[in-house]
Amino acid sequence: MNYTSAKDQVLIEMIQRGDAAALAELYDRYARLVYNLALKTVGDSATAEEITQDVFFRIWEKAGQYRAERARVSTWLSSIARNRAIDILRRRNRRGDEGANPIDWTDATPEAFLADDDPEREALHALRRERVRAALKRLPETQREVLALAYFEGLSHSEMAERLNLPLGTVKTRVRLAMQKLRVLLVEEDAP
Amino acid sequence: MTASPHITELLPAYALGCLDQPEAERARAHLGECDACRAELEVYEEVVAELMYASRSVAPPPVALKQRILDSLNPSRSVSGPSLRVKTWRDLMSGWSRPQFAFGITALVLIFGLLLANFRLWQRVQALEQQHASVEHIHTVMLMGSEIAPEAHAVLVMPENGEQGALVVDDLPPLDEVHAYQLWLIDENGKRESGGVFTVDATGHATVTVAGPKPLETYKAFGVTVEPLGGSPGPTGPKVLGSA
Ligand SMILES: [Zn+2]
Repeated sequence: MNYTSAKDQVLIEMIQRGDAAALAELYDRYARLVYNLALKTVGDSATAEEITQDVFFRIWEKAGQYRAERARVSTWLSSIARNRAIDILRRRNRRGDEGANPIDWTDATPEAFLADDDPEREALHALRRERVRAALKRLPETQREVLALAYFEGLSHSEMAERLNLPLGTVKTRVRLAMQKLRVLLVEEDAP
Repeated sequence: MTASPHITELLPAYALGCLDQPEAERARAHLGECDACRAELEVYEEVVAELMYASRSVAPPPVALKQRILDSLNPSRSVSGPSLRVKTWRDLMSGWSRPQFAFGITALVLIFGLLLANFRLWQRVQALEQQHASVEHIHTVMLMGSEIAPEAHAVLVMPENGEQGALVVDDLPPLDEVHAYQLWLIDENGKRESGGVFTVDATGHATVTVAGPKPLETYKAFGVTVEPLGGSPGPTGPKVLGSA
């Protein structure tokens, strides 16, 4: 079996049958993204590591629940990762250690990409990253702000309203407009 | 109040996970019985998944993590036994009975031959299908080092009709502080336009986003030269990388 050439979806089918090498390949494709998403959300490498481990362990255990007609593998994987990271963040915040500085996508370490073992994969990720970042840049600052609070900190509408001292309706509108615009820029403009 | 039975206005926030409890429950209940809203939700979930790509990689996961995960898997669930790291010759040979062996060798040679021949091809196909599923067509160009940088190599990827691409360079010698590398986009008349100026890190690596005045795939060739820091209007220094 040629793992590197298998589609994500085929890897999941193999994982369902207990094929650890398929999980290893999926790890090579996504661990870096998952780890960095977790790192950015929770802020420390030990927890990010724990989340990454948990995500791939869950995929191993729950591969049977994946429905290809519902979502791409990357979509499924990113939602597991984000849910896990936000769970941890919420548990921490409840203990009172309030999150440090607000996080968003505008960190400006220019062109400081990290080398991947596979240059082609790295190039594709870089391309995709720039595409998403370009779309985010086209949102008004106020919309990007609520998006980041929801995405990285897992805040709800009312928690954001409180944090930003804004009417609830304003927050809801900003979230909705941001997502609708991203949908146009990232999903619909792809249509050939 | 309008009486739309759907929950379209809740879906973007539902996908993002930021609805407050009562609304989240209303959405969940409705999604359980409405295919239209579920389909709509999937689009927003895709948007949320794309956001994962927006963060820059600041650190790789620790090298030992992969093995730790693989070691922690429960092997009892496995049907055929985990075929973990079937990579060595010995691994491939083990389990083959002797009469099959000679045939096996021939088959293996054939398979390896095919694998080698198809290696680049399926890597591209895989890359195309997997890692950039949201962009329909991707072109990949390999750049090889010239005689003054024989170790250097690079890969340039560009979406069809896209004016933006990405270049990943490896093993290119780091330059002094008054020079930089410059990518050239060469059209069918041999005219060269700048695709960007970059430097490499101490290991000779760089990942560069590339932008050109025209869709990148319309250029016939690509090259990299050494130029004064800031770049030149046209190539002046020695060439270090070029496409075939
Ligand atoms: Zn509905």
